[in-house]
Amino acid sequence: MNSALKRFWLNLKGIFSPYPKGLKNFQRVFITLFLFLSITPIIVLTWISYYKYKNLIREDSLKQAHLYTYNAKHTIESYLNQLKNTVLLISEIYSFEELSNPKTLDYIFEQLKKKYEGLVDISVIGPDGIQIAYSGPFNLLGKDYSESFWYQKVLTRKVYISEVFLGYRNVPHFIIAVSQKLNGKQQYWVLRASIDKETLDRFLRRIKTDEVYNAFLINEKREVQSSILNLRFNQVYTKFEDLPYNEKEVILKELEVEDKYLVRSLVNIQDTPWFLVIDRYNYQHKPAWNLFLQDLITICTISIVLLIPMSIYLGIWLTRLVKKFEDEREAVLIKAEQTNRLASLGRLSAGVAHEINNPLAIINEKVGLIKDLLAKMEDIPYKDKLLKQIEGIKRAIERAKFITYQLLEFARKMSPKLDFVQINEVIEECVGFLEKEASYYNIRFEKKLQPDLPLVLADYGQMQQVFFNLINNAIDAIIEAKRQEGVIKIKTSQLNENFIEIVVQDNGIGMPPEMIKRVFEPFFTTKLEKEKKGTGLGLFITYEIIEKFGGTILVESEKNKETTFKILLPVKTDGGSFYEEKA
Amino acid sequence: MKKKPKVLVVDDEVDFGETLAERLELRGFDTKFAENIEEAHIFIEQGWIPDVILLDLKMPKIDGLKGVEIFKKSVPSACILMITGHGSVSAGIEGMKKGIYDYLIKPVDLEELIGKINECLKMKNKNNLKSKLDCEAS
Repeated sequence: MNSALKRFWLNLKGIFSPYPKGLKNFQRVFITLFLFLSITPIIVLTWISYYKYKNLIREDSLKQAHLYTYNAKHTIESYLNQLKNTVLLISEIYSFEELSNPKTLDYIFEQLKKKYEGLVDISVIGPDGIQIAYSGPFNLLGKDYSESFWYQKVLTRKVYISEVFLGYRNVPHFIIAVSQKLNGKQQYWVLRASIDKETLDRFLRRIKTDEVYNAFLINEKREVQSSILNLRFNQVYTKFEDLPYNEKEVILKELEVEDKYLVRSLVNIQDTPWFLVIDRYNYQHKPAWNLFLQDLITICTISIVLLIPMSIYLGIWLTRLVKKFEDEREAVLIKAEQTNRLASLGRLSAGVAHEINNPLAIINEKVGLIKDLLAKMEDIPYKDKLLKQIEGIKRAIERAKFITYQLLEFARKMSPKLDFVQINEVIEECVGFLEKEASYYNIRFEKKLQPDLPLVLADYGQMQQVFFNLINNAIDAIIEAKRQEGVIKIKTSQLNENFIEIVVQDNGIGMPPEMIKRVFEPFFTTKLEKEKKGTGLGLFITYEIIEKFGGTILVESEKNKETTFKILLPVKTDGGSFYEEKA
Repeated sequence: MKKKPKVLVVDDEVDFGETLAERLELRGFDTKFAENIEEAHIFIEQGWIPDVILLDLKMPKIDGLKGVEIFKKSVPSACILMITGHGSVSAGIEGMKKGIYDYLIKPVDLEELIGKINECLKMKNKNNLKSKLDCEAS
């Protein structure tokens, strides 16, 4: 378990740390930016959805509260109107005298009681404000109402519905009273019906559903007129200063009461001193809202959780891609730089060769002439010595000529003799030539040559030079590494229909990366300084020859381990070779 | 007495050209040296028609390649050998296309040069014989 964790940690560390500082910064910036750019819209969208849906559901909640309150108001109004009209009708059908008769009044009371459950009593008050007839459970006959508030009101309004009050009976009730003119007189008598407060409570209980938290009645003075259904909030409902009154419209207000989100609606009951107050649960308590919130949070969380590893992965992937392109670009640049350098050097070599060749030709001719003339002369003093000196000059000219020829060869000025070359043959020849020398140092060859290797169009001699250089270098590298047993592996194969691949590998001293970069440069040598073995031109010439024939040469090496040279050469096809196309 | 083969050396390097001409003279050739194409034509105009022309590739004013074209018109019978210090393959190929017999790179080995001149002369004689036979036949 521990090792697995360690492995995971190393991998993670490896993901974030193998790049140079610039790329690491790029990776960090990309991941941060991608996270920001991808998460921000999700959060914004979630926020917008939240508010839009909240407003929608809130508006719906308010509409519902409005409608519900309006219906409840009509239910109460219709009951009171019915009772009010009945009392008015009785006062109009019967005369004051008839109703003053207790028997008639009792009869009417009994009939009304059957229909209106909350009716407590019915009575007739004469023009002087004294109750002259009464039918009901209390003993209120002869009571004087001339100073009562309600009595004053009914005389001016004809019909009056009172607030809930205690009165002479000392029991909460309200009254519906109508006044009628006495026949031929400017005096009024009053028919009064008392209704139990319980009747109002009954209506309110009927209004109460699961969605209603509370319902009750208040008067204009904002005093509670009915029972409060939810008694726990008694205190809360005693104050309504912040709620405006409107006689016709339903007033709505959102409020929070003890962690409950409510919509309070307030509406006047027509022709009464009462206002109906209903508290309904607001949208926050509705299942649709909870479900929506739950879904929204889930989607948002899942999106963010998925985006984080995705961003990291993308960052890593992109950085790798950038690194790859960067490496490739660097390789191309190095190659271009190298090619450019080599091309410049090639031009320089050609120039130098030309400039040296001309004076060299003059010296050659002059010396040749002296020699010719000396040969024609009879014995002169020091003739032999002079001829010997001339021969020395001639040898020096030959040496210089060889060098300029070499230079010209590097500059690709020498004419190659193109022919179909079997690379296996060239390798066998070179190995055969160097095998003996290699055996002195206990170096053996391992050859894997593809028997039907296609031919390439090249110069046989130059190909010999290439493999002679490579094998010679391999031998030197092994000698330098002081290996007990040296191995030079040579492999040829057809890479694809266009190229053959030749691999020369040794287990010699190897090269560090900075040396690999310069290995094909002219006059660069890895061989021991004291031995003065290398001219630094071997691999340069090899590189030039391979490039000339449309091939590529690559080197891989590790210090003190091994060096591998890979050569790709174009196969001669019917369509001609790279070299022919170039020429 | 056998007629000496005529060799015209054209090279802007006077030291080289003169010495080469002199050495060839010593080897039994009738040689003349010219510093440039115009000077070479003075000899031709005087009636000295070369069998072989040793022509330098790089010369001021008129270079060797242009010179080949001129000599092919003025002395069509002459065999031209190009000598160059530049060693340019493409120039050699270009020269071959224009009709030179071969090209050599400076500094030249006199024996090799004489060998090439003799090859040239053989080819020239063969051509002369052929054209003579052609004339007789016609």
